[in-house]
Amino acid sequence: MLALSGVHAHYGSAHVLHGVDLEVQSGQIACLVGRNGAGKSTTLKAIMGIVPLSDGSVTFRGERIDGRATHVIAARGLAWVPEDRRVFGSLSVAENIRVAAQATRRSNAGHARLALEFFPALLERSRHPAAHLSGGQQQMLAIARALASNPDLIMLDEPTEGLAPSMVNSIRAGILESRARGVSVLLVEQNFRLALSVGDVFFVLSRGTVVFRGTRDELQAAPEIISEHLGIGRAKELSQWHE
Amino acid sequence: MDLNFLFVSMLNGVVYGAFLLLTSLGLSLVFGLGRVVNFAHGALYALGGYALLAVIRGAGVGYWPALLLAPLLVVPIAIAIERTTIHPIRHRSDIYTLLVTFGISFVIIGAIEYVWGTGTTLLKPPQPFVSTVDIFGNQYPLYRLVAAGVSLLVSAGVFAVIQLTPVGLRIRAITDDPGMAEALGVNTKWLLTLVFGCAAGLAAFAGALGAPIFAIHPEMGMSILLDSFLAVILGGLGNLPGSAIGAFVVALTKSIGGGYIADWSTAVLFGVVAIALIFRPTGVFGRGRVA
Repeated sequence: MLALSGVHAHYGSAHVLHGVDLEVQSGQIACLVGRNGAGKSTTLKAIMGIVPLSDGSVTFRGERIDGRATHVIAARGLAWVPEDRRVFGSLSVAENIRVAAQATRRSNAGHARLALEFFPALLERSRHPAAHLSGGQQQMLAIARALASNPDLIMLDEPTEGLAPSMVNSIRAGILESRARGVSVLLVEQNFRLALSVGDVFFVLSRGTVVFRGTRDELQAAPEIISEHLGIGRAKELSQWHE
Repeated sequence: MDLNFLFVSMLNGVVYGAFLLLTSLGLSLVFGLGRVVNFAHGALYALGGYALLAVIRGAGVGYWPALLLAPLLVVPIAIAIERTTIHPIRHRSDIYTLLVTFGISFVIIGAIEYVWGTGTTLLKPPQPFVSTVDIFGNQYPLYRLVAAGVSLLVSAGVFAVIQLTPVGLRIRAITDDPGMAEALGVNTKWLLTLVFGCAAGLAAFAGALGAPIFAIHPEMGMSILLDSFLAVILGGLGNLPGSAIGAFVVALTKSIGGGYIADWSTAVLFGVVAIALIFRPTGVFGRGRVA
């Protein structure tokens, strides 16, 4: 469904991505993990056309999308939930959802309604300004807003960062529910335990390069990768995360 | 204190405020959407006045149809200006668009002077609004009241579009976070072009509507541009309700102040805005942006 091949990207003079190769199959939850500064968020921005590619290609559903305008990429069925959520603070919850549902021809009022019902906590606050929501509720809204655009693939950038455990569970349920509704997921997550609990395939990114790709079991069978590139040292800790 | 004088000054302020409202809304919308500080807005206002003249005299059309046609002539010109001069430099810092629109303003004024000359043209108010009405013993020109009413109606229409329609929702989303709106599939660049054109249309409409009141001359837009900027800054850049309130504060301060402290009214106005911005840098009436 989504394939990155030899993707290079720069921030000014800084070379951030050094030939990233990555694939997400239809119906999968793919997790992109790595230390801070590895280039995970930049990879998502490169896919969305927000950060231009210096080299390489991005293919989505068989079509090259690199070099396209961001709104065109979104209209092809890719949705992005950024790390800092970026809900429209001056709009109500329902209006946030409607913007996404009306932005392209892929979605309609039905998708907006479904997205709003995705997280019941949002439905109760549909008329509240998004700026007045808690961090967790804003994260729910950001995910619901992305789903309102009726995407084929949703990219989530650290959706649980800074959230209370109860909120993390809601977000986790939301990720699994997305897949159940036929939406593939590319998840960037620092919470390794959460990533292990939902991911089908894993890509470990280090210094702008994918240094590991494999299933959950394959990743767990490679403690040196986990230790060196994710900063998680002991097997005991790892087994705790998996529980 | 002469209460009649004060009353008429206030009435003049309300009338001018209604015009300022139209120009300020366009200015605020364009800034909110694209962070474009449009210094050509006043020249586009003047172009509206001249487009009205051209349609009335060139095509022999009556005032009211000409009032509708004049802005429609200016909109495509503004869209062409945006696509050829502002669109290519939108990724650069705000100062580039400011300087470019400043230059465009002089090009438009120069073109007006080349085509129509540098003189002032007075236009009679249309029938049946040439007369005056008695308001508390003051004979007040009827057309001013009608024009102010039309301005307020059109402005209400703009607010309705922004608050109630899908395109208005997109405009509000872009004003909030253009990058995120784009990432959701909104074509932000084309919407800015469209809004730039419509804002110019509003300015041109105001220029045409005000022609029988303020007279038509090549630099007629300069004063209202300055006042519109003050209104928008006072209200909070990109904040439409704030801009609307700002428009009437500026207009009333200028009108009433002009009646009592003629030479100092502009200085007082600038002083008020400067002091307000020291304490509320994002605008007195709201959550505008710091330019």
